[in-house]
Amino acid sequence: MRRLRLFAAAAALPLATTVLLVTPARADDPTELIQDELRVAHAPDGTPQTVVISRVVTPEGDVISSTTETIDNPPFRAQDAQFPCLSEGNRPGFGPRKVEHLFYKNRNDMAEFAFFPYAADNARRDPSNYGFSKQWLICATGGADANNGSRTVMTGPGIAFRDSGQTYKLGQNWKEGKTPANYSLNLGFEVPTGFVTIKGQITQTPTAALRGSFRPPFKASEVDAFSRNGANAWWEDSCAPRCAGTGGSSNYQGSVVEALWQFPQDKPVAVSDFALSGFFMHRCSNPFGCR
Amino acid sequence: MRRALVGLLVSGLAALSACSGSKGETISATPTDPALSGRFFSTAGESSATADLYEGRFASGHLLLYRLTSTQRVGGIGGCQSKLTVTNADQTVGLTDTVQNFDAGTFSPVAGLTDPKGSVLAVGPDCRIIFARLDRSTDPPTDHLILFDPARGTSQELYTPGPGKVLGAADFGPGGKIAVIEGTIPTEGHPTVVDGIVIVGSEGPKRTIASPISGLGSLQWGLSKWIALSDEANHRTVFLDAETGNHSELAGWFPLAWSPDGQRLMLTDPATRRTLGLVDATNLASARVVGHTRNTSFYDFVWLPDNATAVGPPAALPRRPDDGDLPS
Repeated sequence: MRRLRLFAAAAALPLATTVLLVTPARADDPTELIQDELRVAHAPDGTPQTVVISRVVTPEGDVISSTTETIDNPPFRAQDAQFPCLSEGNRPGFGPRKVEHLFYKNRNDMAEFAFFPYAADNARRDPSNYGFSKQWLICATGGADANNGSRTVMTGPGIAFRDSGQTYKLGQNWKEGKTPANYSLNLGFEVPTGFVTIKGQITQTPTAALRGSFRPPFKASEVDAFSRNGANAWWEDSCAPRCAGTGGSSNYQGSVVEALWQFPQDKPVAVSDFALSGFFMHRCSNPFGCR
Repeated sequence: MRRALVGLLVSGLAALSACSGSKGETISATPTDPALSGRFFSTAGESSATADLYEGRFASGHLLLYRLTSTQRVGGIGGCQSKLTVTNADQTVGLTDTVQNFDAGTFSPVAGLTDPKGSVLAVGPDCRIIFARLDRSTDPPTDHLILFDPARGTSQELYTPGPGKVLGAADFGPGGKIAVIEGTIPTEGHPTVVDGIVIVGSEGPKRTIASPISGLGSLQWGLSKWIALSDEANHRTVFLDAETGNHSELAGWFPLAWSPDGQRLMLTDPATRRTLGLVDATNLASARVVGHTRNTSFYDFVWLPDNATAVGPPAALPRRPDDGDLPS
């Protein structure tokens, strides 16, 4: 019996050594569940960037390891690109602000998100002192497409005004519910804001769920600190978070979210005061790794 | 035995219905404190941007709040004997301040008011309405103080500040006079600086008096000789005599509304706006607490006479645990 144990240990040694020598690439290891959190950023010279915070997590969302990298965005076409989050009928007083993008692509996965901000000066007056207030509305859309055996478990955009101490958010909108199999689902919705109408639209054929929350879908996300001013929406596969085998989607999946905030007119507010995020959780369905 | 059981059941049901906090609940309108007679309405909530309309009642030593709306888009409020008027910004009016009446649980257009977009609302005892309308077609936008007479169905522009100026709170005063705060238009990093209080006479002449406050705040006048102003920077109420310019101060309180006879002023605490206080016109230096809430802050307020018929039916929405509490 003792000889048998020694033999087994000796046989296992080369295998263990091999495993230690090979550094698994992101999502190559079929045992890993990866949470990629993308965040809008800018280089000092103004170049649009995407910060990718990549976390290996347990199904419960506890972080095993984490890496961060910053990538310059590729040039994007202007707003006439076929993003499924469009504004209609700009009216006096409410105007578009700088559109922001997130983009991330490796050999297996591609994730892309777009954020469309609008602002209206002197939109309302505060009933306590009749001071003017301004409103900001941001519509966000996007998602991810996984290939080479990589599977999307959940993905969607998130927006939050970076203030944890005071609530400025007036409302939010997202699509929610179980999506039926073999049906094309349209996420269209419209919200009149008094000055501008926002229409969000994306078409997909999942057998999964659309969810939304004030809180981000990743419990390790630092954006959670701003949840009182946040809105997040995501597509989630029915296998989440304990996906196995071929669980997850190899098609493009995503969601749409929008929120409205109100600030005192004299409070300086810029697009950079909002945390604009893209969430993408994925795994590798190939037992030999995804390459 | 059966009769006794039926009697017990009936009396039990009667007791249950008396305790019910749902629709139809009746609270004795007899306040223990005669200084608090009247009907009280307020825009209130957890933030001023998401306020609802409430009716408040002082009964048996309690402040009870009854929520009348759930849209979270009510701004200013004003009232007279027969009408409650508000600025509503819910989806039905495009999410921007719109002058409307409120009764029987619903908002409705003010008959004869053809352009109801506006805010900074006040209603006189004769039900005339004043409000500010911002014209965005000019650069910079221009503010206009509008007087609407519902009896005649006519609107009249009372006052327009110069370029770069905006209007703040306004209210009717004795003899039909109107006071309105005027200040600079706010820009990023530069809040409105008040540079005067404009008094518009019933016949039209206007005069501007120096303002004892520098930032925007509430203005309450009514039948009192004193214009009560909230000094937001210094957390106090300033009482201003419009005739002489004399003024006095009450620290630790903001004004909400004068009583219908102008003898008492309802106040709220500057820090949370959840405590209600009362000051008597005979002693403006001392206030007492008359009620408070745990989570609901008071923003705009109306104090109507006991026999006011504004808002007929009882509250349609059930009370929530935080809607009023024992005075501290």
